[in-house]
Amino acid sequence: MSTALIIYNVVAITLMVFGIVLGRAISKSNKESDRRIAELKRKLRQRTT
Amino acid sequence: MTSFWPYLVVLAPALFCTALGFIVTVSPWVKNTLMPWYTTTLQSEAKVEYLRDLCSNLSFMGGAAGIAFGMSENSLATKVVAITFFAMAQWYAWDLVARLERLRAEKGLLQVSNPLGVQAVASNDEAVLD
Repeated sequence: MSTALIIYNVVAITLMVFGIVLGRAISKSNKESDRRIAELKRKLRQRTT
Repeated sequence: MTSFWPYLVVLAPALFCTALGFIVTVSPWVKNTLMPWYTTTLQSEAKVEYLRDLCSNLSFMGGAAGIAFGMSENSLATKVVAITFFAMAQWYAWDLVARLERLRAEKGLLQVSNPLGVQAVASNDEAVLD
């Protein structure tokens, strides 16, 4: 394995690990958004009926 | 195939220190600095769009570079890493697309509920509807 190859693999694997962490944060934000959207829809329905 | 065990034994103290440094330094930095900045970024439509495009482009560039490296050096491991990198970067871009859909839905609902834009300062300002 050449040095460039090792550097590539280390960088790629580090980015993948960070991707997992950041992806989990997105799921968390999406869950909060879903809750807010459901709340907004509920209030809109209450207002129109 | 070259045996990697002797290398692993020699590098063990360095690897241990790296892991320890990660737990002591990097982990709190991710929690206290990176995450608050990142969650703020996820509230902005323009920034999420930018991140999605950047991530999608990087997935193709990184994947292609890895495949090229793997072919020139005849390394199967690098090809596997390149394909996994491509798949995970696309997955992350897909997560960002899902985030974008939520942001747009929220924005649309706020516009419907408050067409004149009164007090529409924050997307989570529920006082608008009361």
